[in-house]
Amino acid sequence: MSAISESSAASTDTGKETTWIGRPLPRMEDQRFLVGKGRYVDDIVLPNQLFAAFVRSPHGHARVSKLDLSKARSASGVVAAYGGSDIQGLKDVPPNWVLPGSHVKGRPPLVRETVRHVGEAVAVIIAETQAEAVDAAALVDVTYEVYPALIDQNLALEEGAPRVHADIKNNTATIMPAGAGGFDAAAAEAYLNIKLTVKNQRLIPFPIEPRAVNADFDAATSRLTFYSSNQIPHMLRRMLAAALEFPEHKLRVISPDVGGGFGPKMHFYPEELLLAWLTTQLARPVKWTETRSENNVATTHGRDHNMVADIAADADGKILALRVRGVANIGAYLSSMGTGVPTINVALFLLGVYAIPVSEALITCVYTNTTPVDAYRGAGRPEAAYLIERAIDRVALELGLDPAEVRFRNFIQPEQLPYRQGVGTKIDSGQFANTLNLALEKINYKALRREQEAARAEGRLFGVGVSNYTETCAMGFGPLLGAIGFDRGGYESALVRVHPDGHVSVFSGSHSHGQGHVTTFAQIAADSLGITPDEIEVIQGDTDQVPFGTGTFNSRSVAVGGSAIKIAADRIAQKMKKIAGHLLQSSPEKIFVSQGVFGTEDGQATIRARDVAKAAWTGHNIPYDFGIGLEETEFYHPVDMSSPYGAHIAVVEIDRETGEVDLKRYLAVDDCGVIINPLLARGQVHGGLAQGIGQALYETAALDSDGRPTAEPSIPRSDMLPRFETDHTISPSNTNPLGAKGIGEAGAVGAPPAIANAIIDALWPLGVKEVDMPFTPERVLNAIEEAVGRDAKKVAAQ
Amino acid sequence: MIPHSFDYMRPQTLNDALKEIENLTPQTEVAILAGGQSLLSALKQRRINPNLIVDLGAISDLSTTREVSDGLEVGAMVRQVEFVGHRFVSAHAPIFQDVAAAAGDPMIRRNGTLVGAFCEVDPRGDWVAAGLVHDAVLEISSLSETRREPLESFAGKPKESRLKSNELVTKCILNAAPENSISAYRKCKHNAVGWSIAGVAVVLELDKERKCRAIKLAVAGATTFPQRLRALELELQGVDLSDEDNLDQLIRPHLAALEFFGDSYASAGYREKRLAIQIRRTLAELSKS
Ligand SMILES: Cc1cc2nc3c(=O)[nH]c(=O)nc-3n(C[C@H](O)[C@H](O)[C@H](O)COP(=O)(O)OP(=O)(O)OC[C@H]3O[C@@H](n4cnc5c(N)ncnc54)[C@H](O)[C@@H]3O)c2cc1C
Repeated sequence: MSAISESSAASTDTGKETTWIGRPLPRMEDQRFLVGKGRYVDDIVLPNQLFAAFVRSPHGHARVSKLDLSKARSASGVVAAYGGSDIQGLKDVPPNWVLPGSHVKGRPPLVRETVRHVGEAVAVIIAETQAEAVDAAALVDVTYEVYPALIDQNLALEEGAPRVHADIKNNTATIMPAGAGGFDAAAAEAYLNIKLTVKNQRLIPFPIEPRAVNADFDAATSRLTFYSSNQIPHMLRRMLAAALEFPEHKLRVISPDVGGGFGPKMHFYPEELLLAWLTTQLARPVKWTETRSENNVATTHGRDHNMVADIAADADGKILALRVRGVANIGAYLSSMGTGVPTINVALFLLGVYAIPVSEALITCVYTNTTPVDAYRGAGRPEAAYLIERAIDRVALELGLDPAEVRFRNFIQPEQLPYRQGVGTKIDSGQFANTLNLALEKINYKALRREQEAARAEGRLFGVGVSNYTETCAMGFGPLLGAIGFDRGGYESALVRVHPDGHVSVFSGSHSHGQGHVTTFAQIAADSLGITPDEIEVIQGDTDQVPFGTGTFNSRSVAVGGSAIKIAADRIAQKMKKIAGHLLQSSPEKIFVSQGVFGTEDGQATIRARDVAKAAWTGHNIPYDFGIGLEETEFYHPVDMSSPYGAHIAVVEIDRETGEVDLKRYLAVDDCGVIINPLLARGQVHGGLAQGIGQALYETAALDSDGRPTAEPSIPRSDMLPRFETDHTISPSNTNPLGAKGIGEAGAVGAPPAIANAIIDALWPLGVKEVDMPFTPERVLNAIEEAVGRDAKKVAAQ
Repeated sequence: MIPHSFDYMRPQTLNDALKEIENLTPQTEVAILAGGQSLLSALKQRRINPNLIVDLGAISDLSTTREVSDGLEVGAMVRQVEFVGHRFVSAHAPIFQDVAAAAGDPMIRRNGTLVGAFCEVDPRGDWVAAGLVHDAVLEISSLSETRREPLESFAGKPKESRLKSNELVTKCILNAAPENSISAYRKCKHNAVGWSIAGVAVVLELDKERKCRAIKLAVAGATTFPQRLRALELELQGVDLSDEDNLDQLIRPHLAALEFFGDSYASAGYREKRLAIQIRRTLAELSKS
């Protein structure tokens, strides 16, 4: 294990090294974003462009008893208007990760009769300008018969609760058990038994760029070009083709610059299916850009998972058995990964990085009258990490032990790796104790505990919280995905082409929605080819240019997409060495390449990469059986995933009178295996932390009784975040040729439990054992007052 | 987010502007546009749908500030950042520097006007609270008449009865803070947009024993409109403001009579508690400064 400090990482950027992997190159793509030259879907205006505007239900549960489009249809500029009854042939938008045995209700393109969540589209107006479309939408006359809405998943499960879908009993989409059972027997023997209730509140994901679609059917060629702000254009092509019954080879999906995705932009949406259908009907391009208000209710939400855990431990804090019952709110319909995220992605990770002999889980996915819930940064792993990390702390606090010490006692030991958890996941690698030790040292944990003692003596509320999250990233292996009902490939594609002038095009099936692939992928290819990253162009997001791919989610782009590039580029490098060897009259094994020049071992003869490339593409002067060209395609298909993990520490002080939490310090030590670009890896940590801290302290959809989110949902501004302290340990993964793991979701997974643990640590002496996120001042104050009130009552009773 | 369609006028003189809004038909709903930082959001979200917008931006007379005896006149189009940079503010109204550090962001303050913020009377309006402790007065004109109204009474009225449809505010007049007074604006931010959930503006004179000799105190963010707490001001006279326990006893009953609002982040009840703390802490801080 090596710890790289920020300064040593930076100092490697001297320009003299021969390798690019590991260097903190600034992002090559940023110039155009900084000068406002990014090209997003909304920037694309096609000849003959039409615009769509939606009429959306303000109610969570209603029957549309009247829908009159006549005024809208006759308004200026309006080309067409459709309600649910005008799109009879169109199917519901199906999910693509369906746990076997689930009761599936897809999202209707438009409400047919029953509205099931706030923001569901009731009608769509198509007009010559966006303003005309929006104005006409305001003229649509809708009468709603409003019914009470079912918002809370636990209430929706109760006996006699109304049904969200008439034919689905108990509003239950699916139930997933995990683990081998045996909890009760283990608990009966245990020294300590605790019940812990935790909630991961519903979050609104909030990409800066909302969704946007421009659908363009060319009647002359029968080709459909479909622009969408999307993380997985190839999956979208397949799903859209299937739902529309459109031949896939005539469908081109383009996802240009994407202004943030965080998960929601990989789902297949009603608006996408509808606009694709509309352009085939109208034979003109139709565009829609989501407004922020629409984004709040029509784009999928995240989390919303309630859990109750039973924990059995011995007197030393070793957890003997864990039983978890989760009730997940999946919203009114199954969005793409609706049943998979709260089940597989939660249950498999419930034991974290700990060796817990006995485990059981049961997770129920429940329909409600709310916006569908789907993958959002971390996608299930934050819920799992939150539960197990809270559980560890609770055991420690109940036993009067140090929470860090209790972690050491429960960690999977190095000799146990790779380790198959009782609930299912396989941890490939990791040095959990080392990583935690490094974090404790860096933050000077012992001094913090002394500071805490001193603070407590003064009546101040000071807390320290640790979390040791893990997750599984770099999604791969098709057969496994097939077995769990996830209708995606587990591979990633790369095509690497060296042009006759020596420049290189890298085509990747991954798709950046802000991560900086252009830079990291160029670094990977540069090392294989012995050239510099600025000689390489990375191309993504257009299914005509990159015919097949899987896309960006699950922190998989570097480990899977990057590996594909490395493999393809390595093959080309081999061929180039062969050609160079021929031209230099040396054997290929004796040729090596550096800074764009091939040379013999003795340094006597050299040839520029571009001359090798030219020879390859002209076929002059090389043996016929070398073949023409320098182009390689790789569909890299990993058989296993990787498990990044980390140790995060939060330090808080709470104002006892106001309940305000001051997050004084935040340290993240992450292990994502081999790091391609430390600067960008750190950027991912920072962004993830902002969202994780956001979940802990600030964010909630705060649905009202109709399922309407708060008018002012909160995301943290820079002045609401501490200075991030970050570091890495590096345990290379053995599941891919780069040794990379994944870092995109780490902060979002690690931060909520670290902060929750710090807050409960601060409040524990007052008798506070549980508080739910977000830890807003009012909630924290209520918890304090309740605990103090309980105390006062006890004193009075004595 | 596209507003309803509307007619748009950008008159060159105040007189032309007043003519535009005189004798409107009853169907015409007019909105005055200053910096647009409140109005544009309302239009885009279609919370208001006026069919005529009169933009004051081209009327150069409205962009002037003028020092008058013991005060400053601020034209209706003077931007918040221009106003805050005025010599008068640092010398006689430093509380507005506190406000500028806490209200909105640089872009908003570059566009937003002081008078616009006063006209909007947002319940959370930081500028309004500071205006109240400077006894701000609005000058209101129609074609036929010019009148003056204290910001305090203007802010206390229901929205519909603040201005007639043919009136607009041409300037406001701020009083200088008393010599040797100290002041502060302190707010507790809402986590969403950074507006306040409890804000307090204080201009304070201390006597030799550092007790309160005279005080002006206004609140925003928690109550349904920004307001002076005049009864509390009276009660604070002669009080030792560093005695926080005593202050707490004094403050709370005055808040009990007020109307509070809340949301999912901070309920009305929490805001009331938080406001009491905010007032007490601000006073204690000033007494020690
Ligand atoms: C994101 C955001 C955050 C903000 N945060 C804060 C904050 O933290 N604290 C705070 O105090 N404010 C905040 N503001 C509000 C902002 O400071 C004021 O609303 C704004 O500056 C008002 O001035 P304006 O010139 O932009 O007014 P406009 O938006 O142009 O007008 C506001 C209202 O007053 C009317 N009006 C304006 N001028 C006149 C006139 N001369 N005569 C008659 N009627 C008139 C308009 O018709 C309109 O109804 C925020 C605003 C935004 C957009």
